[in-house]
Amino acid sequence: MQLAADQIDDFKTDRKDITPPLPMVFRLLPILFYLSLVFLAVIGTLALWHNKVAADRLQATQQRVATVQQEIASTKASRAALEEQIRRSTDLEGWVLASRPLQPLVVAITRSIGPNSSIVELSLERDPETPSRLKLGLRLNTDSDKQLEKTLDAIRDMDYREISPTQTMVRGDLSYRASLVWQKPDGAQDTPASRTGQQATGP
Amino acid sequence: MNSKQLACILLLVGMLVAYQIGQSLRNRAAATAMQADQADAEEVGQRTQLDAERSVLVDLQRQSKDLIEFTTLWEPFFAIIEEQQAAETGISMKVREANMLNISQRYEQLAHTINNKPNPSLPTMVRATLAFDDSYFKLLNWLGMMERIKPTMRVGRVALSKGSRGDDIRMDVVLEVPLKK
Repeated sequence: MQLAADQIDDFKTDRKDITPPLPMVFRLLPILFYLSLVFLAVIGTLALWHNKVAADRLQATQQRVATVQQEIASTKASRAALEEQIRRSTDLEGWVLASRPLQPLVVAITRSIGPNSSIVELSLERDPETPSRLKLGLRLNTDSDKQLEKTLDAIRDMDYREISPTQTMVRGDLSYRASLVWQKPDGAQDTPASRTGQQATGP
Repeated sequence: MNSKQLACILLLVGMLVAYQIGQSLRNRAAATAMQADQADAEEVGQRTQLDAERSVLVDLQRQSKDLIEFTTLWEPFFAIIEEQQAAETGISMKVREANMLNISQRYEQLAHTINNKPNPSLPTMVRATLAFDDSYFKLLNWLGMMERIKPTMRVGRVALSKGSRGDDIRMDVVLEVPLKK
């Protein structure tokens, strides 16, 4: 066989591998590497999507929590205002209940005195610590015990009830002491109108 | 170590890094989901607290309805409570106008307590201690008129006894006017 003069190949003997081949199983490594990249792409995308969904949910929940907290604060403020109003109302009610007019009671007692009796001394005094309670002191010149019963009936007709009564009578001089407590009749309300005798339109 | 082995190690490291990144992303998503779950639980707790607060408020409103309605009627009368000087002048003018024999009058300002407790809404009051000697009708009518025109004033004490002249009676009366301050 002739060879062209211009086709001179440099025949060389095959070089031996610089490094010895790896075992066959290592051929799986690139496949596994690509699979790991696919794994990263899939899992990463899913994780990022889940993260976004959870973050959106978290943000929405936090907004709702903030709204609920505002409502709680508002409700607490309303309750505090109402408690203050109740405290004030209780104070005013305490005064109102301890300031029922006494003139009608005095008139009722004096009108109950019969022709054979007379008042020597009559006093009505509010208890300093429980002003809704009255201390009644009554001295009568009378010839009969019935006069006192009549007077007490007049007091009861004014919706007062006597407590701890004491009574002494020495030769027509009757002395009577008791505490009086107003018994609120059913449905009765002590209003400004009931005291002034006018419509409750304010002072 | 030859280049093939190095390449294998690099691939292994690459796989490990990919796995770690994937796990990290999953963990982050799980942590955010856990935070969202905690926020959900917190929301449930807050709503329970809100329901309880509202329930307490409604109960309080229901319990205090009558009391507040009652005192609402009285508020305008307490709103015009005067200061001490005005309260004294108001009473002494009515005493003069009545043209009754006034034996004495004394005014003092003192702390207002109910059942030994101070009353912050009406902390002080003016106490007028008056003594009259006149006819029964004039005295009782005057007392009734005072209680009518000043419904927030209270009579702390009234005592009737025989007067110095004929049918006249002596009336000792203590009037108390609440003050706002």
